[in-house]
Amino acid sequence: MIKSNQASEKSEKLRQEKSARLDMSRNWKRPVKYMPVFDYDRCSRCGLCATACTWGEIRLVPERIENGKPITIPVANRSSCGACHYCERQCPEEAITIVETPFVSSHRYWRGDQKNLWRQVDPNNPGHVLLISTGADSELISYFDNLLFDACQVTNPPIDPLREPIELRTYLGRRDFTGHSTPPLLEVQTPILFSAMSFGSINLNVQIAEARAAQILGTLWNTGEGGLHKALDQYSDYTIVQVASGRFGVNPRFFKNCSAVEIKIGQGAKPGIGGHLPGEKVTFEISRTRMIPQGSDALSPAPHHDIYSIEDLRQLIYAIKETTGYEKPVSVKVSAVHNIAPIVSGIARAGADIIAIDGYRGGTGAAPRRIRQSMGIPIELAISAADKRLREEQIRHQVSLIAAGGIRNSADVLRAICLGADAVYIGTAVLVALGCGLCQRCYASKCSYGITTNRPDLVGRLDVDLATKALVGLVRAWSDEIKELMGGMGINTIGSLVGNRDRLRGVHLTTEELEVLGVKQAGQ
Amino acid sequence: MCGIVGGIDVNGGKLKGAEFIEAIRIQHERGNGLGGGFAAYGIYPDFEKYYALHIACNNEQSAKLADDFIRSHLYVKIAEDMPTKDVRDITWHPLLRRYFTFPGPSNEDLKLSNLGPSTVHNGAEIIEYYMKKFVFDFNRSIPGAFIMSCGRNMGVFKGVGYPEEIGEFFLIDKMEAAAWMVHSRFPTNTQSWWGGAHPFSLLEWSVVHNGEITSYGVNRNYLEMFGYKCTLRTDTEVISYLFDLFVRELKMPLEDTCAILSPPLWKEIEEEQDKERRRKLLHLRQYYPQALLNGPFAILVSNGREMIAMHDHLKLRPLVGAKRGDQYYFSSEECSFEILCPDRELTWMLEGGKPYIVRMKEAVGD
Repeated sequence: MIKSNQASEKSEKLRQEKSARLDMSRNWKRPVKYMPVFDYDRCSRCGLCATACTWGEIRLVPERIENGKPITIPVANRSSCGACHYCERQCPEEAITIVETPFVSSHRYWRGDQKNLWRQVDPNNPGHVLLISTGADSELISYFDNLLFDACQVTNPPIDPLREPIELRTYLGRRDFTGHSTPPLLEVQTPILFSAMSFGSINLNVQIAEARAAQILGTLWNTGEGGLHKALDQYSDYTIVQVASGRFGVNPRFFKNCSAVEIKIGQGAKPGIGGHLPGEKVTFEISRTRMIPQGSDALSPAPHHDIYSIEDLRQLIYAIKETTGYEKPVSVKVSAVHNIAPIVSGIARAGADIIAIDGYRGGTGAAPRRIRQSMGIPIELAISAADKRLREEQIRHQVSLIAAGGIRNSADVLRAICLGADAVYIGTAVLVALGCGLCQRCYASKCSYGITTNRPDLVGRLDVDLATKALVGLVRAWSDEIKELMGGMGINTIGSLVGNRDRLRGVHLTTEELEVLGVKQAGQ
Repeated sequence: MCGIVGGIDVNGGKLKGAEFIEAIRIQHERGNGLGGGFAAYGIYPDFEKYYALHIACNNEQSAKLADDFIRSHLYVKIAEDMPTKDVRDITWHPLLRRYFTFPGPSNEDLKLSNLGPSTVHNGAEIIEYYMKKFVFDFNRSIPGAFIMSCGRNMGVFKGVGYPEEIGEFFLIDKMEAAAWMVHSRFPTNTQSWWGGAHPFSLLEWSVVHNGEITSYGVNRNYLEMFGYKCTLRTDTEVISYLFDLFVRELKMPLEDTCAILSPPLWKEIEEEQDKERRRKLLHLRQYYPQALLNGPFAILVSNGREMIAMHDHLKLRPLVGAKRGDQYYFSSEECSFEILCPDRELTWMLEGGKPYIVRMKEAVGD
């Protein structure tokens, strides 16, 4: 009996000791999403992976001593893998596989948000706004996927692009039919333009590669809001410079060394908010290019503080036209929002030569997750509505429309064109072409591929020549695919597809969706 | 596949309808009996000031509606049934009416009802604008009725059948005209109906077309911005509207209009030696990409004074020309020339994408 009591006391003590070891802060520990798994039979213990990983996911632990030297093996920290796949690609022995670890939650409705909520209340950093990069990855319908092209059969011969010329050359800008002089039209050899990504959000190597590729391809690249670095002056014929609410780097040299100026009102990933480049990312070169002190936060305000309505935009457009002697087209970039059709009409009437619409899936270097995931509307609907409205107002032929946000392949390019765009901007596709694994953490400035980082030890990871080649390859491949698609449709010039919804049919869409898209149901 | 034949005498001399019936009969294989038609110019010299409306109505009710609509908008000089002849293979035909009309019971009414665009300056233009609006309104608002043609001193005769039957039906063999355009249809993209047969006509401009316009969506969107209404459920009507828009409304030379509808390749424009012409071609292609016709086509277009023959760059639809003295003929197949002009001095294949323009009194090749 006594003995039994003693045993019970002992186990109670043990229990209490163990209880004391429970760590209360671990209530908020985030579950692992991805992790590298090492095949130690293949692993040569070289340790390259630990250097490759910039996120602190891989540590090396001692395994044994060989010839007096310690041998280490890589181990996953299970803390910070974002599935960028850099270590996996770098491993010389092909010994790494990135796996997704399923998050087990019995509550289906909460499953996705549980993890994010825990992050927001993490005792180490409680109450913070969730940041995220690139475009919205929600599982909302992609209209692109539900639109199918027409092809020629019997009554109408398809064209073989290997044997007959198919022309992709596009002119962007304002056509004035009243005899007033207008800025020259921008000539691009293919309707694919590189979208705005600022120096700061990406590094100079990437911008140089974009500019060189644009020169080789005869298309245009866009500086984004971070100004124009001096090293890029020589590519002025292929450069669109961007004026955003922060007015970073807007100076005479900037206006001189460009072929068009874009006013950025909004961006698809974060409609209605400005940009934020943390001070630690503002290096010497960035501070010089942006014309801000080194190490200071580069905040671009949500609105342009001189544009509170459409008439103010008109003044800015004409201020820029005056500045550039009416020799450079002015583009206005807006996010796709509910009221996009009248907004675009207003912008056209305010004097913009080109209007770029950035849709729901549009990318970003950094945005609040809630904004990225839940603001704005898909580009497919927005471009169609804008094109339709401009036609109804009989001014569609006077201005050019550029669609942006969520263009993943050449068929998306052509679908956007059939829905009313003259050309498209690609951004995320550019990064993916440079190797990007889409881990959605550009804001952290730790990009292991050396793309979205300005850390001196990382920028060298991207070779400018290889990057240029990749971008040229990307646009050439897509252009060839577009020609194949056009040949199948029996159309030999891209202009005959701008707004040509007759060549599209929809599947799995509601009547309302088809109506907004202006597309018929397949089979009709 | 369709068959087209056209002919024009640059001195305004008369060409026999009977010959054109035979010229299209020999192309029987190119049609399938679901559409045929004729456009004839210079056939109503006694009423040359009046707009000749050729109306087709499905039944008495639509004929009544059409009659009311016409009389409420236009002064009617003559209203009559179209003279036709029973033909064995044409088992059904709409009620066919012909009106010789002029806008407005009086000029006062015309001023009130005209809301012309700024391009409208003088009386003649106001009248043309009014007539055009009348035609679009008619085709849109009168169920079961449509206007086949509405030009002065010209007419379109068309229907569902082989063109030789349609010709016989409309007594084409008794007619003579300064210019003819004939079409034999093998419909591929719309169901056959009397309104869908060619030629398509708007005021004096008529078109016969063999092919399929893959840029139709773009062309239609563009035309709708300028107030045109595409109601005839087929791609060909955009061609007649584009000619109407550029030549009649925007007053562009025919050559420029053709360069807009079927421009040279960018490379060809760059290689153009004449600097002024290069600048012009570049401008036209940059400014009017929505009016470019894409897809396989061979077309004949005429307003009675000029005839344009053109096919696509790749020559995906055939077109040959022939010349006999002051007469020019165009056809899908050379065999038709054996009937129209066996003693022709010249037969040639037209260049892809390059228009050939014949003008009354003088012929100008491009």
